[in-house]
Amino acid sequence: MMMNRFTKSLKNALTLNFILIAILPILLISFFTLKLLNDKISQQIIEKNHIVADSLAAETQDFLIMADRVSQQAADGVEYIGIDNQELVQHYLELIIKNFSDFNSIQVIDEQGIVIMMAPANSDYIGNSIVGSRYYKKVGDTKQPSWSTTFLSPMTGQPTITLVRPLQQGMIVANLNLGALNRIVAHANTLADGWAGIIDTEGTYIGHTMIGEVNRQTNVRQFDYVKNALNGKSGNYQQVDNGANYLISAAVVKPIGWSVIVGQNADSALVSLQTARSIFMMGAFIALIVALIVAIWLLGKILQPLLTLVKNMQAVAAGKYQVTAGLEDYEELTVLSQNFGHMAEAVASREKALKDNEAKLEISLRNLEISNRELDQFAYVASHDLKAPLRAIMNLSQWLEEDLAGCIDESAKEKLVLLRSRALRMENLIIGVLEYSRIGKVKNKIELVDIQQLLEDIIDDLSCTPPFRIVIGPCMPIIMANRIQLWQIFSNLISNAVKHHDKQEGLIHITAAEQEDFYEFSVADDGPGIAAEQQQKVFQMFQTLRPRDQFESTGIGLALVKKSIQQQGGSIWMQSEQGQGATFIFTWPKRVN
Amino acid sequence: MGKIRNLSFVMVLLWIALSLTGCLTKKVIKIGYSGPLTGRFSDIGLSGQNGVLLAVEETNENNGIGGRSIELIGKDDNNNGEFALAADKELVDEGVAVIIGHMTSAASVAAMPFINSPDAKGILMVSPTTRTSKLTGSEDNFFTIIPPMNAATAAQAKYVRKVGVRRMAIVYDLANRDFAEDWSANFSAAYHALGGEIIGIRQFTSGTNFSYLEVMRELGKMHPEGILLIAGGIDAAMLCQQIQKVGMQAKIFSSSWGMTDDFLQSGGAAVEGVVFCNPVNPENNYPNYEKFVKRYQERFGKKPNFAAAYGYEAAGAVIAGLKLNADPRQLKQTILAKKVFPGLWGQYTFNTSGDVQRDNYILSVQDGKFKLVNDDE
Repeated sequence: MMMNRFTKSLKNALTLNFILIAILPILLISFFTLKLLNDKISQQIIEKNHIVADSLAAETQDFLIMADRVSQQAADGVEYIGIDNQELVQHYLELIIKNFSDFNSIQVIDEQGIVIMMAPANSDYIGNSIVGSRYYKKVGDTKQPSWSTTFLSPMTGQPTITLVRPLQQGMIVANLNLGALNRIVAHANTLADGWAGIIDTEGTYIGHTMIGEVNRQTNVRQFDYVKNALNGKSGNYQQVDNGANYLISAAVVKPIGWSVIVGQNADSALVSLQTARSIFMMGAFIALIVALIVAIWLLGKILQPLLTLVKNMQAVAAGKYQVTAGLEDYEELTVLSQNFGHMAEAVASREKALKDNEAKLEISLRNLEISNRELDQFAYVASHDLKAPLRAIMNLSQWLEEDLAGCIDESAKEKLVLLRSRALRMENLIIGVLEYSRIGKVKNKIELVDIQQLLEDIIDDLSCTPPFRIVIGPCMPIIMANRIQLWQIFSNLISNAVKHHDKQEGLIHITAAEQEDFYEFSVADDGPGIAAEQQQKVFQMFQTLRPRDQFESTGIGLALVKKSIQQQGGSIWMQSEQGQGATFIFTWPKRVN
Repeated sequence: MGKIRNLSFVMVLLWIALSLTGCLTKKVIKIGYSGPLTGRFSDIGLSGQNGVLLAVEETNENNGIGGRSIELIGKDDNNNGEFALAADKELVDEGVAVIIGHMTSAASVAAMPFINSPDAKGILMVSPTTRTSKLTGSEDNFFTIIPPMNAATAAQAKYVRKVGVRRMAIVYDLANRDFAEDWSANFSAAYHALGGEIIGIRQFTSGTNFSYLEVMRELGKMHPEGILLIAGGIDAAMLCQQIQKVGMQAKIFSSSWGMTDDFLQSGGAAVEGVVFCNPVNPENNYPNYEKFVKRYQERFGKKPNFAAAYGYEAAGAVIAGLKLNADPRQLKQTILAKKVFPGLWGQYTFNTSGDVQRDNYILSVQDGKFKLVNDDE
């Protein structure tokens, strides 16, 4: 609702639009620039890391190739000296260990799998059986050099790998200390919060810039980039771990199947981007303030004439037609001001004419009311005063007939009866006129009326016994109304249906339907119906469809009904065709006048 | 204007939705692990941690504990009392619901006063592999998954006597002093009771400068009929190599500590016939264990050892308890009330002291593998 009020104000709507126009481009430009920067910097870091990973993989490979060559040299030397010349072989192996210190030990194994020589010398190992080891079985079967899986050396506590080469008689076993891998990864010149690690074929770190990862033998096989690298696929990745985002590059060390992983905390790597984001945010904020100031100034300039116009229009609306628009700043506003003046003059002149007409109308209305009142008074007095001589005529004719009984013939008697009946008709006409004139003048009592009960009472009163059948429809309402008025309306409609029926048997059907603001009642009969050209007459005063000599009627009943209904705010109409019966329908407002 | 109004309405709804999402985000349940992650005992420590990690990852993949995910916090106790104590205090300060560990008796014994003190805030410690009798049989905040050693040492002593060995020598590694001394003492007591005689005990400390060969030469002079090795797999294998080299004819027995793949790898022919007493029968096909081995290999690229298996079981018991009642202070009572848990080698039962009861099997190395010995022979 508040937003509705806010945006319905032209001033507020213009302010909002001004700000949106000023801010939206800045926000959009900031957003897309930051995104482009983010992508570009991330790409650069990933490319750099990938170069580092490839370089470390190559160094690791070189290290293993070197170890392989040294072991080959040791094997060739042992074969050349001869395995039986143990003293010289021992000396030779110790010389190799001294020159290539990454080997923890080199052992010579005989054909039975027994350690027969070892450098550096260690009596705990001489004579030991190595037939339980996997590499013994493998090299014994294949007669090919073999690398073991990595393990933590019980002697040095360092990750170690065993390199085994077959001899003509037995084999040579060299334990290569992989501590050198930590030195290799230390060459990685990674950015802040970056690291480099070497992973063995089981997914365990055997070299790392953070030595703790090696000591703890951290296994990272669960990460997809590790799985891919162990399957020989190098690549670049973005990895979320413990809520932090990392840029990862993986390279493969061939042919041993190890992997080199170079990682970078994306948040740290993109710290320069964070600065740029802050600058953009500050810029956007300043732009917002400037836009607000400019918007308020411009709006003041644009809205001031409009506000003046609104104020002056309110004055004109209050009747001060001499007030001008007061807009002269711009050409368009000057035209508007002139038109405003013309409009005010036109309104002033029309108002004067209206007031003159109102005065005339008031005089006419007053005269009309006086005429109506006099007419009503006349109708009332006339009908009331006319009733007395009529009553005298009827009484006197009665007395005359009684006094002249036996002296007058039948013809004279008939004339006297005719005289009384005409006088009675005259009286009924007078009563009708009186009732008609009273409608709307008498304060009617409003009460709760049960229409079903009312109709039953009317039918009972009219003594409409069979052969006429009167059917009251369902759902007759109980309404607030003047009971007498409704009695007159229904009574007139029902008695008309009975009186004007052309057959000995008949059916009258009364229904009610509830509409939104009123009830709709209908009284339908199966009588002779009313021809279309006569339907306009039935609601007119003193109009009868048949001569009064043929059918006794005052012609006031339906006029009374119509006036009663209209006086309550309802309406009445009829539907009929000659010979098809007639239906009188009227509406009665739910809200009582 | 209507569009602006709608946009504002959507933004307000979005803000409310995001706020609610933030409010409704469930906190993680932290589980601590403390074991030797570096040094000579790191094979047990790392394997135990891997076992626990596997159980945690499996639980998180299956909607966690009542929708709350588990975070595993690992600490290195370096098989050292001071380190162990410091690790446990750090874990309690970090708000863990339970500590799984330690993996060696030395570290567990050192941590015990703290775990049973109010400073530990009632946190339960569940050790996968601690067997020392110093920590079993008491109703405290320390549970074990591996069964107490008393039954194992008694069964081993009984078997040693059964095969006719009357004079035994014992060699043990002081690097895991509490376990080693306890196994030695328990075995000795049971062996004495059965009429056996301990003719010599020799200690060494792995990782220090000493000669395995000299140790065995000294014992060889006593001419024992049998030798009991209480050491880790590689050390026990090295000792077996020396026994063969010095020409001793003694039968070799080992504590369960040495029953690892490294023992077979490093021992070669010298470990053939070495007898163990262990609560796991390697010849049985345990479906749960086979599934565990498969998943462990997929996850870590190698076969699990006993420490990994008991670590996995310990995590399983703890997670099952927390699923029944997430209040860490009620975990001890919850586990004791549930009592029976599905293990890797069949169901196991906690007694009121929080110790697990399991059968013990006599095993020996035959053709480079651990195989069941028919104890009825």
